[in-house]
Amino acid sequence: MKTRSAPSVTSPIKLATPNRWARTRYRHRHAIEAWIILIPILIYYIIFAVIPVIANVAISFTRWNGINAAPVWVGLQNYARYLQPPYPLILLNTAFFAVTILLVQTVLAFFIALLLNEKLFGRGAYRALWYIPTLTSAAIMAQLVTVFIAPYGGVVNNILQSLGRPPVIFTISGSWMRTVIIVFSIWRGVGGPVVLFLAALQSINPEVQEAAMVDGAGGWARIRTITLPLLRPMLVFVLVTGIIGAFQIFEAVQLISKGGPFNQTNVMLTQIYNDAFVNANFGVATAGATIMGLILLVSSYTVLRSMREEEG
Amino acid sequence: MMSTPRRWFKLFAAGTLVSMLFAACGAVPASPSSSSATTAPVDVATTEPVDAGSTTQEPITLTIWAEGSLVPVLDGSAVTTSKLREMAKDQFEKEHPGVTVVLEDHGWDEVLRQNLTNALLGGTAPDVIVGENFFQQYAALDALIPLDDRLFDIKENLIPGTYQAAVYNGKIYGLAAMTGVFGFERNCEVIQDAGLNCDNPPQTWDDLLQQAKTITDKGAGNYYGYTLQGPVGFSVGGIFRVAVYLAQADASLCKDDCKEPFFDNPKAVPVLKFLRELNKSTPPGLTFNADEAQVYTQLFQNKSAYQIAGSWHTNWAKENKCPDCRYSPVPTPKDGHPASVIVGNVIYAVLKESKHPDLAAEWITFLQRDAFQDLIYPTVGRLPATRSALTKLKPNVSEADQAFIDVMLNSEDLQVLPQWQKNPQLIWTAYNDMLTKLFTTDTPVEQLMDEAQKAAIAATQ
Repeated sequence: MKTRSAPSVTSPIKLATPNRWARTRYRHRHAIEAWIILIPILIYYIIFAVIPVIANVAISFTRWNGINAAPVWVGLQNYARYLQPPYPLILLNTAFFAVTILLVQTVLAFFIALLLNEKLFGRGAYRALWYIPTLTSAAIMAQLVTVFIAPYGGVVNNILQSLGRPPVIFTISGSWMRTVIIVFSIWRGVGGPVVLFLAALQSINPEVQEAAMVDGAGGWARIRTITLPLLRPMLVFVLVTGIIGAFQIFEAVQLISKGGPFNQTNVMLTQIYNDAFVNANFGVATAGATIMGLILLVSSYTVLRSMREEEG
Repeated sequence: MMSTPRRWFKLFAAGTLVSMLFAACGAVPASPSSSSATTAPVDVATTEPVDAGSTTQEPITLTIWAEGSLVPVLDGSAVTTSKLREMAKDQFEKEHPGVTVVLEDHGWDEVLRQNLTNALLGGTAPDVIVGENFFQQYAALDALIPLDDRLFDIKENLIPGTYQAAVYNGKIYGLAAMTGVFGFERNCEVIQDAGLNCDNPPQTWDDLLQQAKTITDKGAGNYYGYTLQGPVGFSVGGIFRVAVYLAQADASLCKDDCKEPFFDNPKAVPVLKFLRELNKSTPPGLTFNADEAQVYTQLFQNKSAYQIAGSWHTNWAKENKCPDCRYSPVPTPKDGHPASVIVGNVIYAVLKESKHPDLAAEWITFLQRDAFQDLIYPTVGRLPATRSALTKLKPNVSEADQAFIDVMLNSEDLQVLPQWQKNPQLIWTAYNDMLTKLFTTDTPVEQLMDEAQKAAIAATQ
């Protein structure tokens, strides 16, 4: 009968050693799993986001009508177009709308969130009311606005005329149309930041506020010294996403003012749209899109950096 | 060490993701008729079997972007069609066995332009396109096929103004299937209420100014002398009507074979001064109303007395129960002459990308036949585009419509709006900005025209 003999020093047990590939695979198994899961969405992202951006930048250096014929290289000519009227005004309008809407909307959203955080009867309904414009179609809301400000037969002018006042032709006044665009955009966009600020406020430990009250801190002092610092991460998020949204103002202008009067409400996205689909000038349109992208990049980075510097 | 069930799960997940990826990459591309339509086409292309008697020819689908009256409408589960469409599609298919005509509605104006650009970029462009005012631009970009060598038999029957908008460098790139022209409309109830005689419409600009002022004064805010559609963005609705008066004064909006704007044309000075005066007799604010329908229906509602009217206004007035609307030629200036502008033109053209250019061109000439043209007015209330159809129609319509047909048949000066080949949006914005300042300020007309011309020239650079 054969028996197993104990291994001797001269013949140690030889374990099955995996090959190099198997070792590498084992060492990086978590990363491999992650890549397998990520690859489909990465492919989708590359095809529908990265490649179009690269193509956009490439086309911005060409003259191309988008209808036929191949793009023709023209260098920086399309970018130089943005130095000629009315493009500088359009850039200025975009910046003006973006900064104004962002600042007013953020401040308003903060104070609305503070109020909605109070224990009020029916606050659930108030919260829904503030968010409804964000969910409503921009086209429907724009139609409402045009009914209100229509120069003939509009609600506002009907009221003015019933009071014996002459009608106001809002559509030929740059100041009025800018105000309308800003109010419309804020009305439509304030719901999102309100929800975000509300969520952040509700995450603040109420004992912190109570302790401050006990120490004699008033309402405004508590907001300044407790609420705002604790809300900082959410504020950064709201500002960064708000900048991106505010610069991309389009529906309000396209549906209400059409860029008028005298291009005083014309913004980058509406002009990019017109350059592409009306003027058949894809070179200038893509140059505009590239400029917008750079502006957004710089603005977002500036906000992030300044907030971090204040923290540090 | 990884447990066996967990390993099998991960392999399964990875395999599922990879197969989904391959499935997505291998998906059959959407059919041209559904990829870019804003309105889903109702007519699903069902390829008919090749006629047994024909040669071995592959079945052909001819895709045509058509104006709404040729496209069937879904009403619940029923499909409503028109005699016009039946005649056009069925007859053409009968004459071309093996060919299936697919008619699609992709909107009009800005929506149509956007859909067309998307289709061209996406490689799903149709064989035949439809539109009103971008054909010269597309012809300049070499995107259309000229039709001149197919028109020998029918050219005499065509009215040049109706296809002028599709002429580029002397070649014809499109033909109108139906058309319209401007005339002058008056509301006799308002005119008589103001104490004027409606049987004698104004013949000259001075008559019109005087009557409009009288009616406005008598109206005391209840009605006004004139309806003027004014400037909105880069829309050309108001500019079309202004162009009628400019045409009467030979004040062209363009020069150099209409390739360059001529907004500082000295001949336009009296026209713009006339319009500035005329605007004072319009309902306050109406001139700047963006809703074209609301602007023109004010006359039907007894809010104004006179307006420039498209040939479709006769039916429109009836639908809106205008108490007593009548029609006449547009008043002319002292040193001017009668003229009008083609409007509501539905032009069809063949794209160079068409897979069946000959067949597509045949479709366009097919629409010029009397059998099709004779159905236009009774079916959709628009004017046919050929002499023979208009001549046959004239005795069978109202006096109002006869006035418009007279303009179409007899006018020596039927014009079209210029089609800018570069940056039309910026150029028309410059003109509309000028009109806005014309109606709201007292800035000298010559100065406004100079500013508009500078802005327009800058846009062409």
